[in-house]
Amino acid sequence: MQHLRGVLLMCSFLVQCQSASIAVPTLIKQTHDLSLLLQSQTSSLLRSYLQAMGRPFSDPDFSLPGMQLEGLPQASVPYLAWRRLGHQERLADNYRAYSLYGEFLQLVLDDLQALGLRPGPGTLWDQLAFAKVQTEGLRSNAGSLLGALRYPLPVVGDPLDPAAYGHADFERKVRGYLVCRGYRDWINRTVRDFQLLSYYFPA
Amino acid sequence: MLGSASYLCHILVMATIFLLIPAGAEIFRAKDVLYGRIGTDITLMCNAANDRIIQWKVNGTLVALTNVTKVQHGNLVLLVANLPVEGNYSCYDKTGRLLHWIQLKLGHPPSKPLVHCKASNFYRISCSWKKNQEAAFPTSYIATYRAPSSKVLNCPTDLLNNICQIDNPQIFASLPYVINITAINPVGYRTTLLEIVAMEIVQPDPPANLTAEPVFGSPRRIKVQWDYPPSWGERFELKFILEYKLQQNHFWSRLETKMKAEIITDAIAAQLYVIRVKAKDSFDNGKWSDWSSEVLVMTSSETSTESIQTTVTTLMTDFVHTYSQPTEPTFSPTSILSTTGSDVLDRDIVVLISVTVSVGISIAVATFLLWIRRKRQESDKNGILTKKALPLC
Repeated sequence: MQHLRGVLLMCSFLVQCQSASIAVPTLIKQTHDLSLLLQSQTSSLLRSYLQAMGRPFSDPDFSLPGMQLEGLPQASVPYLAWRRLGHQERLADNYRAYSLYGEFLQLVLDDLQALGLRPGPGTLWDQLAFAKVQTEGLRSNAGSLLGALRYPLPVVGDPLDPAAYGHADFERKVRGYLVCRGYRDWINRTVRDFQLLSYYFPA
Repeated sequence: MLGSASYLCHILVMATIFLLIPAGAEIFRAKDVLYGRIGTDITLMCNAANDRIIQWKVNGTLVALTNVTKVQHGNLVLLVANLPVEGNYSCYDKTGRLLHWIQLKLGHPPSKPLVHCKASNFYRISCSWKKNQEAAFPTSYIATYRAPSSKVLNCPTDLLNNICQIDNPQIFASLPYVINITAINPVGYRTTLLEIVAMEIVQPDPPANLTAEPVFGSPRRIKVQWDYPPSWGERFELKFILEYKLQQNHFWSRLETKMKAEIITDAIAAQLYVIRVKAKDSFDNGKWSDWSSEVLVMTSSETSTESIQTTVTTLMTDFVHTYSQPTEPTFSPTSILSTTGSDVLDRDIVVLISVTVSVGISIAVATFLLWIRRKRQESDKNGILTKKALPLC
């Protein structure tokens, strides 16, 4: 598992380095494959998180309907609106989403340390750290594709200010849950975004 | 004379009118219907002042007062009502004047609606429910749903067909849609809540236009083609499972593909095959479609070199069967025969006997030759002084 992660990190790093010279169809396919791999892990990440937080998060059927974290990108979109997105918008949405998820995942990692969960192989902290690195890869790929297609890079707001978020244990836990859940939904969306793009840019 | 007669006439007419009008007014008033729930206490109101003595009649006969049927303050109270007490009730004052008329109908609240949602693609979810068949009472339905955004919306209902449609559902949402179908009749209501996730309930319609053709010149091949179902959107890819079998067999062979056409390469020549296809979203979201309707196809018969070899084999098989004897040592049938069937056992016995006999005969012949050789050697030895020895091969 560690070895695979290392390989993936290398790949995403190489992709970032060579983005200028990689053809658009190839980069789209690579990003699609990466998102498929991440998709296979997001459900277990969410489950691990809920288990680690204890009750009531670890209760079966736990969910917080109607609750959202301010500033966290939501993947939910009506079918037709999603279907009609142009390439620029589609890529820009992914770029913005993963820029923000990188920061939110860092926030959750800080929260986990504050809650006393330590880094270590196979731990929740490790899984989240891996997810965070991958979001950087996804963001970078989306940025490269925007550049290759001559679209401007979207402007992402100021970095998150950790001080702006509450410090109570329960608040931290809720935050982490919302981030992991939103991350899962966004990866589901990215898988289909890049599948769609691969129709337009066949490798 | 005339004056008094007309005066009397006037009085009579006035009196009749005075007496009849209230009763007439009762006759022209609209009938009240009261719906009551079976098993509950029902109070029939008389709409009269409390101090009047009231008489109640049901369907024209006087109501029998029992411990479950009472008159309280002029109102009729029926305790724990059941079906036999249904009827037309009327109340009268002590002079026999009709005060009020009520029709009492009894029934149960509606049963829980049976709701079923389906989606043939990613852009419309259709939920339908069964109308309550046995309802004696008019039942109406309210259909609403809560979107993942937590907003509650009315379904654009097709009340005649009992269908609630959600167009353009949210996808990639954290939370499911919750459909609320409430059945209401005059004596109660029941609600059914159903949670659905668009990506999970999607089930394509079966593939369309399935065709199968034998490939001429290749009797072991069948060319199969089909289309996406028309209800599916273009940009979500489908994957397919194709199944085929000989018509008389029970077990299907299976091929998985993402294409819209496939060639079966292991068919048997000149046989009738049954073929069917089903579809699913290529990312495994949702469920497999139902099987398409089955298509029958006859593979082409043999005319190629493949088939000539088969013919020779068949001929040789027939020959061996007809002419081989158990003592015949020179045929080895196993190298020629390739048919399956019930004569395998017989053939094996024939082979065994032939081989054994050939071996036996060979041994006998070899022994005989050796014996002759020895005999010659002996006679040569005897005649070696008198004759020249001839070399034996």
